[in-house]
Amino acid sequence: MQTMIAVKDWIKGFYGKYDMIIEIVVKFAVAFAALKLMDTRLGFWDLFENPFVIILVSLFCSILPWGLETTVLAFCMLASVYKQSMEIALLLGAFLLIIALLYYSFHPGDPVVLVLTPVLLALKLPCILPLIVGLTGSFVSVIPMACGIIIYYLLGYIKTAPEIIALDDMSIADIPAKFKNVIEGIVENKEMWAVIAIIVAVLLIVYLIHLLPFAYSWYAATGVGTLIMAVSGILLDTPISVIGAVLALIISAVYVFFRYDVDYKRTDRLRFEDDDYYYYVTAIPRISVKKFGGKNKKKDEDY
Amino acid sequence: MVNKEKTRIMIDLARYDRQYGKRNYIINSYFMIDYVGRFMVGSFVSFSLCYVIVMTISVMCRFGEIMNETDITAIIKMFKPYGVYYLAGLVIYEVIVALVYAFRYSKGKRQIRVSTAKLKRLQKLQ
Repeated sequence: MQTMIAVKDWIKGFYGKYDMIIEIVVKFAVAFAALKLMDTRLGFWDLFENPFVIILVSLFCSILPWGLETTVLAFCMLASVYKQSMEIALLLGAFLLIIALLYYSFHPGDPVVLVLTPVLLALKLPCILPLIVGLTGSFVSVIPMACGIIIYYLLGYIKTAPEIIALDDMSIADIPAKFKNVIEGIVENKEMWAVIAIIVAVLLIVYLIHLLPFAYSWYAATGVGTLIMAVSGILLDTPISVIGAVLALIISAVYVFFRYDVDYKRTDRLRFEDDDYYYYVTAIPRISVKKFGGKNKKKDEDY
Repeated sequence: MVNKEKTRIMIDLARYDRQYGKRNYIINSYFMIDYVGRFMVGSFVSFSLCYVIVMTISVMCRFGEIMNETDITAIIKMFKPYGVYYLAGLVIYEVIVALVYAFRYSKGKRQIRVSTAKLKRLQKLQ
């Protein structure tokens, strides 16, 4: 345990020192994964088949703020879809515009969730995000997460149903039918709704449990979230696998370990009073090691 | 010698200014009703624009149905529920926006009070 805490402190120090570079690398990795997903899931635009182009666009994205990076990736996706079908690109553009106007106009904090959700779904790891966002973000992040799932399935639908989408011999009069087919194809996708329901439910449960005032509530929230996800994933026949859920649990546990550094063994329960109130205070100290391999420093030792 | 308390207050104030300074400066120059109202007008425009987009897609999907209909009153009847949906959606969205911005306003005001108290404390220390 001592070593783990020391490693954690070292990593924290390392991040503090090189945070700018690490952020650029993370942004590059997210953009690269998203563009690669577009290529494998869509593959309509020859330009994205060239890895050099993907690297160049990812490099450009890595120096942008998250909001702008998401916008650039959205335009790349629209351009890629446009190559296959103008109507679907219009539909997708309308969907993205609605998200931007209704959600991001007053909650601009989490555009990365919208990008990461389809990427993690493609990597068969959709369980990670609801656990981590439930622990750190706000519960309204369910909206970009649900939109990310819809985008993922819409891209998949374009790939799996080209006969509905790319009918070259269609006349202008058939365009409404094309729209109707795509909308019905998406709305009637039971798997998509099941994934949305599971991920939204897990995020809300994790968010609520981690707020409860009991020891190890963060770990309990991740455990319960994983269990619900694994069971419902199997029952509802979705791409959420047990292995994926367990992997998500491990990643979330590591994340909790780094983020939530409290020592429940040294919990103090205090009671004091003034003229107006009685105070019942539970004080839980943080744990840290000052130097790598050094002794566990109690932060309250001065008192 | 470095005054620990003074340094801590200054760090707190600098952090506050970087994180919330700009937003709270705007909050401080408005009454709550004006601040919330300002965003409600913006959200009205956003919602209406989104509804126009949804309506356009919906009309495109039902294009054949509309063209086959010869009676104008039947077409109006066809689109009557859309007006109700618009009003209901607008009311719900505006209520959410009002609640969110009222909460942000109160939080911002509280932060301003805390930072002002810290500034006064800093002034006393000098």
